[in-house]
Amino acid sequence: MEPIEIMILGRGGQGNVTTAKILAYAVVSEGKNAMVIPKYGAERRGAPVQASVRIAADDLKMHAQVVIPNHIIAMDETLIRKLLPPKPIKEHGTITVNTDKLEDTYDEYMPSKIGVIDAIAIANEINLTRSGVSLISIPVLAAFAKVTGIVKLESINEAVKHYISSPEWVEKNIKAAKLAYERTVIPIESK
Amino acid sequence: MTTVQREIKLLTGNEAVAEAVILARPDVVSAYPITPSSPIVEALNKAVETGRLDAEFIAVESEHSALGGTIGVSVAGGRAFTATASQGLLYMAENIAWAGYGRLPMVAAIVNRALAPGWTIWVDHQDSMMLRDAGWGQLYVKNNQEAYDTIIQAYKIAENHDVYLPFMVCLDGFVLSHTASKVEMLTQEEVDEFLPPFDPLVTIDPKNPLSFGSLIPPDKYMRVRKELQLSFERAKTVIKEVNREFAERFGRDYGGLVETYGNTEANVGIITMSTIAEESEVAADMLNEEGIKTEVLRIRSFRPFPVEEVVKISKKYEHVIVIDRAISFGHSGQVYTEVAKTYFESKLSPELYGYIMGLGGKDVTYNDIVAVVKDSLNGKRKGGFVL
Repeated sequence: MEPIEIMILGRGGQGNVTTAKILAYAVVSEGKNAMVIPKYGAERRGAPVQASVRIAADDLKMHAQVVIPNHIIAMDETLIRKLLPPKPIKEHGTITVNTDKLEDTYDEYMPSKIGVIDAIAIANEINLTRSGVSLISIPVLAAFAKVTGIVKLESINEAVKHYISSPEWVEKNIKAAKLAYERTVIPIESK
Repeated sequence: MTTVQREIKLLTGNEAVAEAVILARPDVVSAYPITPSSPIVEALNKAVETGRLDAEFIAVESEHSALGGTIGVSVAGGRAFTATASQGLLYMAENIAWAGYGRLPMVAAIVNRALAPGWTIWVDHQDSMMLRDAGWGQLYVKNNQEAYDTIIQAYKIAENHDVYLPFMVCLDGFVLSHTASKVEMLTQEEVDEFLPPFDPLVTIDPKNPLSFGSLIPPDKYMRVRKELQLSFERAKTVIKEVNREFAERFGRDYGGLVETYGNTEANVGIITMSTIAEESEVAADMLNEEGIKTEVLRIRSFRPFPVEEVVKISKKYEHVIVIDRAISFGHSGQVYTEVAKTYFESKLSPELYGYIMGLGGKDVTYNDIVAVVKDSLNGKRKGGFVL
């Protein structure tokens, strides 16, 4: 089986690598294999960053960076064109993006679906914020689960419990994930 | 072969190394942090602080002193560990040779990182290759599971009385060190059974004063160096035995000195190390599907170098592609040099191509490897840098 490659686009300081680990942990808990491949460089807070997750049913032997993913997860819409070359993603690929209003249809990437979630609204609604910053990683992962069906919401919740130690933050994140899963819309879908 | 249901964790290469070191029960960890090896040192420091690891952590002011610490521990009969990378390893170099030429068993994780300038934090093998002649065994691993397993194996090899040498376990910086993947965990009980406590041949003792590394006249120096060379020869057998015992107990077999993958009747061989070797397995699958009969020969033990295995496996090859992730400037890639020498002495004469790839963290994908193999076969390339 060809591995499935997911690229998570975020900003320095948002916990992008932890987000990738939570996704991978959820996938592994379902009996598959996963690898988290961060892209390290001269990071600084707020700058665009990416981490990838490679998933397979069995052995994962590829070690190189993900260049053209199957699926894109974007913590904000501006990151897509900032971080990715204007090339089609792999067949049946998707984009899951956190935004209150989708600005584009990304035709050059030829996604089969674009899923949209306003994760900032959810985070603000349930006070999932720290130092004035809305924490959106987990609700965006939940939206990805809804758009692709690659991982179950319950598995993401289990991974959240594994990686986050404070019961209060676990509870808030799981609540946000549930809301996001319910509210994710798929405005663009090729039949 | 065991059928026990084992705990699976998602660990970075650094985390896997640290977990394995904890199971190996070192007496002392003496280390100085440097990217990308710092998380190993941090995790072990934390394990000592929380009481999870009953060991002394020596926080030193430099890599040179870090190895000074492990040298003292080894001479005193203790089990020692350190981790470093790149410029840190070079700063450690004087003591690296002291530990190697002094035959002091210990294990160091080398998280391979290219050397500056230009400033870089990413992988290549130039750092450990510069210390290949320092009297240390060098084992290069292909994934996080192997990093975990090899740390435990390395202590058993290093402390074997027929070997009695320090060992480096080399893992690719970032590509393994910071990449999380599935690792099957061993229990403390299992590792205790596999790896007995260090049984030192000689130790310093205030009641019976001894001197290590004192002045030695030329004829004796020659003999001591020959002994060092012979212990590397014996290490070949021990590495294979330890690998076999590990495989029997825990079900994971890395082939000992070398590992092969692909078509067993291949006329095309890809010889390389570390993660490029595992990436080459994907390339070999693709080439075999196209009818190009390909096998990957992964050098796991670079020191001692597995001459006999390379000869035996290579006899069927008509074309051999060697990929080095380092270079001896003014000559060629180090693995290439060893392979060419080995072939010459055993009168093997396949078409041999040496490529330098992946320096300073440049990605090497299975597509790159397929292209290099095909270009070699159809005469488009004859070796050299792949930019």
